Amino acid sequence: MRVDDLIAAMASLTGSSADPEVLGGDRGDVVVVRVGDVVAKALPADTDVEALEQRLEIAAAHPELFVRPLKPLQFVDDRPVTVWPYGTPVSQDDPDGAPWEESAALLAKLHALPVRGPVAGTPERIVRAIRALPPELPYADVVLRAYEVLPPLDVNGRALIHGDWHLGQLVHRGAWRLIDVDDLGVGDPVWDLARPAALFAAGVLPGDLWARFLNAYRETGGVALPTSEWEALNIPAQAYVVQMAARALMSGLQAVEPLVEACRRIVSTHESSDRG
Amino acid sequence: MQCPKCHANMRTFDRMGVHIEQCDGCRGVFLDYGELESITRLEAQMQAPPPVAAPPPAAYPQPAQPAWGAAPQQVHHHHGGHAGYGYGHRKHRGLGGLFFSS
Repeated sequence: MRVDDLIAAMASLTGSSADPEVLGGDRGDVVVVRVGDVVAKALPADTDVEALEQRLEIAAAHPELFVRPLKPLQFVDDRPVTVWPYGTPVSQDDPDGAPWEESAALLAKLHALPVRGPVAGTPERIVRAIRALPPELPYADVVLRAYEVLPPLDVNGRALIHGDWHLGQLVHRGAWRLIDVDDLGVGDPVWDLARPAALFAAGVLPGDLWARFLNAYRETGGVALPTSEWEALNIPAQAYVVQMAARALMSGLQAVEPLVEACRRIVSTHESSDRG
Repeated sequence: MQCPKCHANMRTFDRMGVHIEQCDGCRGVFLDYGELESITRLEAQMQAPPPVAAPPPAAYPQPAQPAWGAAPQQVHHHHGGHAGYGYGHRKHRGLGGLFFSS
């Protein structure tokens, strides 16, 4: 099916007659279309449909945490399509004004829910992104070396987690709510905190913003960090540094330099501990 | 054995004759009775500076960096002095992609 036809079919699913606007998606095989006050998201044909349906049910059951899906799972040909109300995204221009505390509180509450659902998409999605890095790119050797020295990533499920949390996964509809349930499921809750932790450790996220997020998570009773935060976050944050470095090299984002430097430090940390 | 904290599998390592169990999940370490003393003795014998300390409890609002983290002074600036990121140029970090994408 041509993308234009897919978009038209998604637009008709929304029931709105407004002109469809393509909002993009995080991967080439994902298409997100806004039509008026409704957003439709088409996923790849090989998506685990049963798991996705469970994820939608979790979101529908917790409107205090998630934007509530407008419809059960739809299909355009063999592609699953989820349908949501539109919400205002977080402004990218003002990291200080971003809802760090609200995000942390939403995640802490999510992590306290009963542990039921499909397996979370992380850390597998992190590994997939790293493996997609073409090894011939400049600095790819450093990034891939950092991936090699990481211990096996934890797949130990002990909470319901978002699985791919970042500031783009929040919208405002009266209050801040989480979106994108594609990786929602049972996993280690530390993964939901590991991306901002990685950005802080790479010297990219200012310490005061990280502290706001971390404090709010703890104050809301978050279970991911029973003791000092780095005890739990160390390896997951390293994995996200490597993943973001790989993405930065592929997309040419500005922060290549601090992420590659952080990869170098990860390599030397592990090599020195291996020597004993 | 299983980690008493996160219940992941623990692996045994032999460090200079001392058996320690480390958790594959949270990286926590389990010591049997007397092993802490053995390690302390070994350390004294080596007369070496203590190994990289575990991060101290975070003293807010100054959060701790991990051992491999960026030093606070390690502020990254782009050439030319504009559009830097880090602590110096808060409004011009241009990090939208990192904060907002998967």
